[in-house]
Amino acid sequence: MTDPTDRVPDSELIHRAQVGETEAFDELMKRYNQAVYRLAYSMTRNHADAEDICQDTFIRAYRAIKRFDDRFRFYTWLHRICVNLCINLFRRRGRVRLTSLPGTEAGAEWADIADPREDAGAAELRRDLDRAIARLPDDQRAVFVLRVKEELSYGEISKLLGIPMGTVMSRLNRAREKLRELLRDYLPSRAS
Amino acid sequence: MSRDCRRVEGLLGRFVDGELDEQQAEWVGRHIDSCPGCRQKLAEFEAVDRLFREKDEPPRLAEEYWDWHRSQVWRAIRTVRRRQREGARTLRFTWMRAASVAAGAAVVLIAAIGGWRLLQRQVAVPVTVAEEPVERGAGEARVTSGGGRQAIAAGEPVAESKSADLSRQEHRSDKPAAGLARSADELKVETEVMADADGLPEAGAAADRQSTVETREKVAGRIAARGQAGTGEAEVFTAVQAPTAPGQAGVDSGLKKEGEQPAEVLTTCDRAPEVLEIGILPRVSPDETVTVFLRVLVEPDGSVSQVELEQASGTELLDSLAVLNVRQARFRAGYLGSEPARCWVRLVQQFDAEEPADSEQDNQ
Repeated sequence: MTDPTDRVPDSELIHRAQVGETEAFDELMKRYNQAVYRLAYSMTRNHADAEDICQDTFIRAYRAIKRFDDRFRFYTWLHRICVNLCINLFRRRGRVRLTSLPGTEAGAEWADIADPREDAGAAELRRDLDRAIARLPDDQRAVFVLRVKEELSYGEISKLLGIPMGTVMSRLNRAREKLRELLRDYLPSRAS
Repeated sequence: MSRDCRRVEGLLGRFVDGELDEQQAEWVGRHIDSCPGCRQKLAEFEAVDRLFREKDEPPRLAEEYWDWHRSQVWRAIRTVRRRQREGARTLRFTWMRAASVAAGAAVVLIAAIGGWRLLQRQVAVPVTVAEEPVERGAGEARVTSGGGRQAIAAGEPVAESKSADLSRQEHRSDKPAAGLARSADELKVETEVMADADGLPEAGAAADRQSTVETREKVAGRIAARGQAGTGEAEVFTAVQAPTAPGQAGVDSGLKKEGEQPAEVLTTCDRAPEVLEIGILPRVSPDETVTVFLRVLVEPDGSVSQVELEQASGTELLDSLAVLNVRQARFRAGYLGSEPARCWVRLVQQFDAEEPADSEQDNQ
């Protein structure tokens, strides 16, 4: 593993990618594809959509890299592209979502053999979390993911999704209330 | 619940997220210290967030996947670049395209004028045209030999047997355009060629006929295959669609099928099937979102062959509606490698709650 201090800074890679050096963009992709995939998966809750969105994010980033403003963080920019693609997908699909079946998830051939989550209890928890969040309407899930997993502020979410702050708050409240109901077994009991 | 508790409830999310101003946060903090109910709710909110922050992860994928993933991105980028290059080239030669379009238009115009003149001459030699069906040996065509003009006026194809070869009709309908630029003298020879229904002279027409035959065979094959398909699947379909027994029968049949999965059902498709088109479910409750989890078997041709209820909504009618909606949806098949394959996919069908118009502004 390379020493992180040896890492070429993002800004340099971006500059090189802007003048057409494909290796530089490839390196950026290596750095961020898992983070982008994680975000896409959190939003869509299925591998196929997450994979498509992750790929589209980098394709769009590559096409627009010359317009990238280096005052911003590269991941913030990718993040924005990815969220917009997710929102577009939700709009296109209406109220329909696809989720992978446990056996088909991510394609068995790509699954990491050394996955430590083989533990049955952990797998069950993950499945329950997956189901609970899949039950949220897309708009509530998007706000919840951006706040809780991506740790964006209300203002940032409001700007990113183009909705008023009050809407961010009410959607987040609804999402938390619903998740609280669905995950009651995993929450601290009243006695404690 | 006291008035303070209700107020705190509305602010709790913002308190957890650190989005309250100092004064409000202090007040909420004081209330929570003194109220076990609100303290419990706060603990639950924090626990929900913690669970998702720490335990909810996407599937962990092998390093090779990410190499493959990057290669896919590069492939797509190359395709886009190639298209852009082609687009640029096309733009450079716009003037050439304009010239060729103009030349094409001129040719069409000349052909149309020639054709019009030819048609007028054709009317002047009716016997030549009318006699051709006689040579084809059709009984009723002989009758027209004495009054060929009427036969033309009446529309000869109508006079032909209903079992007349489709390809001949197709060919005939193509002919006027092909013959427009030719002389009237050539017309007789040409109609003789037309009469040879089995020996279509043009490759294009032959291909058309071939494709028509192929399409028919495919459709016939599909119908036959459907007829031979297991009765179990047919039962599911019928039961689900029967409006008199909504949900119950279809759902039961679907569940019955679970134990008898065909051995060839793929469980590891590389790419899951995707919904291309599906109906929007109605909003059924003013305050509750109703969700139905379904398992759908999508065939390589994109058709749905089986729908199973994985998690019911608790309302049979809604389950049934969800199943029916999926049955009528259009899918893109899943893929195994580069081939479309038979894949299961889980589908979440949701009947959204009505959102009160003013609720979004409540917390503003």
